[in-house]
Amino acid sequence: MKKSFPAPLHGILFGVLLLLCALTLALPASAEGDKLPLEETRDWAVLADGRVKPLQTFANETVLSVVGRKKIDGLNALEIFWGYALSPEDFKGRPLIRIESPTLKEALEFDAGARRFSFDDIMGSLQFQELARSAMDRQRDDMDLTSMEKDALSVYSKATRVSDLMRGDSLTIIPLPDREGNWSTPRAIQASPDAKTQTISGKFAAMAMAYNKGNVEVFRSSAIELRSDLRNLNPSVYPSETIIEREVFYGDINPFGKAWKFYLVGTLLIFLLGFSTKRWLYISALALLGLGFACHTMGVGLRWYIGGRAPVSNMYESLIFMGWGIMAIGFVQEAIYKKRFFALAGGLMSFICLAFSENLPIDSSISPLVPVLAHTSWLAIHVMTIMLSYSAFALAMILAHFALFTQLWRPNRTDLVQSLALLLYNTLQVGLLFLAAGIICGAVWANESWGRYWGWDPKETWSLITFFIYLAIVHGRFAGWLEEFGLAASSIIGFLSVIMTYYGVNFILAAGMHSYGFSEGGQFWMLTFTLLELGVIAIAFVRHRRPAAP
Amino acid sequence: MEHRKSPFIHFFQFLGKVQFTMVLLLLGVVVMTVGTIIESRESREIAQSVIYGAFWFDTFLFLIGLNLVISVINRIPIQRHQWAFVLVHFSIVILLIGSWVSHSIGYEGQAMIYEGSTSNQLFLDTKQLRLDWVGGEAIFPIEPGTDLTGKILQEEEGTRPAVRILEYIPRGTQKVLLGEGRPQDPPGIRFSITGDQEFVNDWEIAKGGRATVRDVGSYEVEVVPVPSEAFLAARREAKPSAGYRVILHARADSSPVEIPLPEGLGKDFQIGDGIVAKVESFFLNARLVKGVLEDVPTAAINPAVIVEIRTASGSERHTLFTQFPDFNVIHNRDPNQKRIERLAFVGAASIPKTRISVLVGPGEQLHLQLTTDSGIEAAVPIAVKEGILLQSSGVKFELTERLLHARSNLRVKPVPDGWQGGESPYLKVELNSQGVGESFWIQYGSMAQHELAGQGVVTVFGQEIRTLPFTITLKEFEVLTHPGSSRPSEYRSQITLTPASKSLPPREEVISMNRPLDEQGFRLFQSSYKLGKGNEPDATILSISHDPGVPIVYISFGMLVLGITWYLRNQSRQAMLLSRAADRAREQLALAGNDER
Repeated sequence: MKKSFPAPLHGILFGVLLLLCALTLALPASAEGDKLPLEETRDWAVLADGRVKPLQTFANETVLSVVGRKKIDGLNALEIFWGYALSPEDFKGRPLIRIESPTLKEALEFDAGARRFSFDDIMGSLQFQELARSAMDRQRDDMDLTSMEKDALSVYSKATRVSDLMRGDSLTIIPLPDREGNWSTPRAIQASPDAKTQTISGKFAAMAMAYNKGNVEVFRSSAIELRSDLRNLNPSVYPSETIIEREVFYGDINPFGKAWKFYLVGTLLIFLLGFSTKRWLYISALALLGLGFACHTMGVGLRWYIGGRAPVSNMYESLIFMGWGIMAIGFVQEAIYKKRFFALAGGLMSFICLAFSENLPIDSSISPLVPVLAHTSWLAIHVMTIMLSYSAFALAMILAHFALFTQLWRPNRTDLVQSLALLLYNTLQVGLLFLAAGIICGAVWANESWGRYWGWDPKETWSLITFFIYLAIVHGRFAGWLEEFGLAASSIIGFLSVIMTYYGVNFILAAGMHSYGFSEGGQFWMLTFTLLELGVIAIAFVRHRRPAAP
Repeated sequence: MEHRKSPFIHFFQFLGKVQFTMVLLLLGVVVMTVGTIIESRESREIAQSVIYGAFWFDTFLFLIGLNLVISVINRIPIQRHQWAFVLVHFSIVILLIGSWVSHSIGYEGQAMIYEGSTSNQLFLDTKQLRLDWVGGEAIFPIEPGTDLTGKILQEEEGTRPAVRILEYIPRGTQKVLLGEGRPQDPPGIRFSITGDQEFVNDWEIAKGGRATVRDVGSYEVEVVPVPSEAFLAARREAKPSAGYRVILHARADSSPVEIPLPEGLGKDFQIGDGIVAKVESFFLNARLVKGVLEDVPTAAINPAVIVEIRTASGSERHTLFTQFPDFNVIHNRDPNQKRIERLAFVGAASIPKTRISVLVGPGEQLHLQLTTDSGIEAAVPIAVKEGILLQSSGVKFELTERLLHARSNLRVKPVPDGWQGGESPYLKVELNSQGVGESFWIQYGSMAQHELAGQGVVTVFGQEIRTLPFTITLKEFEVLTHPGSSRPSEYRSQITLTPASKSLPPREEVISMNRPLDEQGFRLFQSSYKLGKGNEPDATILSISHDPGVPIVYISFGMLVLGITWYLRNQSRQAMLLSRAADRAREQLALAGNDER
């Protein structure tokens, strides 16, 4: 007998979910009449970290790295950014710079309960100067840093960003009309003999004065004039309005932040309704997932457009692409098999990927490529193929959990387990194809770029280990040694190897040699996850060997 | 016929069975996991030699190939639906063959070329011992992992010396000890430095009459042979240093005011309308002791000042370090807008360590001279076994022994497993010619010259060198950066490539990251570069490989992807049919159940 919720409950649940959805997606309304129109400056271009980007993006990145979030105490990123740049005397006393480490706060004799401190607090602390100085010395001498020293350096780099902004050194908004295409700051061009740049300097000073006096109209007019003046100063190096608009749009709509919420709601809908046969519920859940996928795809596309390269160059981008691959493969398989497991598994795992990428402290800025990765389409081909294989394996891992849980809690639903195992096996094979192709692309790229197609590098070796594990699973299934339980358990173990290849090689194997940011916490969580999974497998194994009495 | 299979046939068939495949796959997983752990804990070289480069690993790969081939043989005659299987499994056999060709015939090396210079030499990673003597030369490969102890490389014949390896240490460190030298050797000393944080016994030799410098904790020691009385007389005068200064800008447009130190200490300086600055204290070796800055003479040099700034509305104090220009510019909360735009503390050409010079001669005389951050002190006489206090720090320097002629002796010891830092391969070589023998240690990457029965022999322990069929001239090496940052965007070598055969003309080429150059079966890659004077790159390091296995491997790649896709298509179709059939069966069951109800 199939068990499902009574019909009225469906409606209520659906309503609640829709409400939840609307609440999370609604944008907070902002309306205050006499606020300075800072948004007039958001589509100026800034040259920062090797890339020309909209001022809004630069403000977001700066504030995110200094404050740890884009909004705080009713101030948005632009307000904080211009506050530091135009009114440093006021802002350097405000507690905005995030210090996470409790040990560092203790060492600096700061209030342990506070999360953020002012620039003056930090730079005025002799203890901090001493700590940062010794940490810099040790870093220069290639010595291992203590975690407190790493924290001090990270706080120091935040404070440096702030002081660069207060001094106006990072405000590279002026495209000089020279042949080299250099950019400059309003402060640096004060003494320039050029009449055009003189005007800009004057208007910027007027804008700064209007800011400090709170004069809305003057601020607006000088900001609007500056926008066209800056563009006309050297139009050949200034990005087109479309490019700027798209990037500002990307920053505003936060596509991945929306996508994961859609995924969450869509997944919950399928899950909570216990595989109800109601077709309209299934369709609406699929529609929600589809909406999430549309946001997700748009985000990936915008990043591709903005960066001018495939968005797969770092942890953040690859995680997002993996999530995209999971949902894409999930939809394709769903279309072929119409089994709902795929929609459920795809939505769930894609949600997990995006929730991680959006909420973990990893760098999400679009930055230019290092030379090893640049000027080649192999990066896109290789990483995308590999990430698609991880996507398929992630999907298989979720299906394996479904199979194990079904065996645990519904031991008599062998038909469900069998059908899950079949789909799982098929997904594994798709993953294996992508993994083989991805490793091959990597080998070809390595040969084209370094003259060797294989070098037993840890990343290479671990991808081969993963390949061997999944090959063993496929051969074990072929030989008939792995029935449903074995297949499910082994594909979970296979995915642990994927995590090791994707994350562990960089952050665990190399932990002794490189001082990466959050390796210690990562190790703990990976170990916890591994033990948890092994526990699940062990419990399922015991239950599987002694089937529960009917 | 089936039931009369011989055990050999049984074994042969087992080698192609999926059971054996599983054993190999799981073994591979374990071995490679161990390999990556070794690499992470120890080093890349150890992992290569213990696992991937070892003989048994080749055997392991051979067994995988055997398993694949026999698995296909076992399926003869091959059915139509099995061709995908054959394609996939054979492609991996071809992959293994291709990589064997790469491994046994191919080679790769590095070429370092300075801007403006030309080279046709390729340096391989393999080690070799080269000997040059009058009338001949010889090259011996030194293969790691083989026992070389006592190996005779060549016998004596005519002018050719006999060469024997006495000892080979793949990972060793050297220790140089001081010994009595021959009359032509330079003078040397033994000394000790004792004090607050230093407890050192060491020695130093003046090499070839020129002083060298030895690092000892926070001191440097040198032995300087004194050539003349005039030299000594000049050394007996003290020279104060240029000093430190604090620089203040009252406004961005005003000219800076400089306060020289230590002369300006405690004096008032006008730096603009109604702003007065005073340097209150000056620390050469500033350290924070319980939250307060103190001068700790034993600590490393870390100059700091405390500056007081007074205006009509009040005064404030700031601590500045020379090492922190960034800290020095943040200023001040003056309500009258009389801002100080910039406040900086600039050090003199600072000396990180105090230098102790021992002046030897002429005759029995010995002098000691100190060079510190505050200048060069006058040289003072010193005697053996006499201690001298350095500065006011309580650190004592004692000259324990003086050797008129000293020479250093090399001792080489293998380092323990897991050791990292400074280790290198060493060879102990014995040369014999006409009854004259010489045995010596030679470090990897170095060269030794010896006189054997009046004839010079040069020994080089270094990398294997091969000659390329073309020469490379580096016109320019550039590091391009992303605009507005110091992030490199491109490493680029502009070269002229001249083929050895006269029929081909020289060509201008550019090699950069991800853009290699192909030439006569060689592939040239941008690998690295070397920084010269002023931190400007002045040499490129190209990686050059010659690998005839690549086409075979590429063919196998194509076959593999094609094969898996084909195989998967068959499988998916099967899976879909199975899934649909199961659904249909379940629907029928459900319908039947409803009917019953």
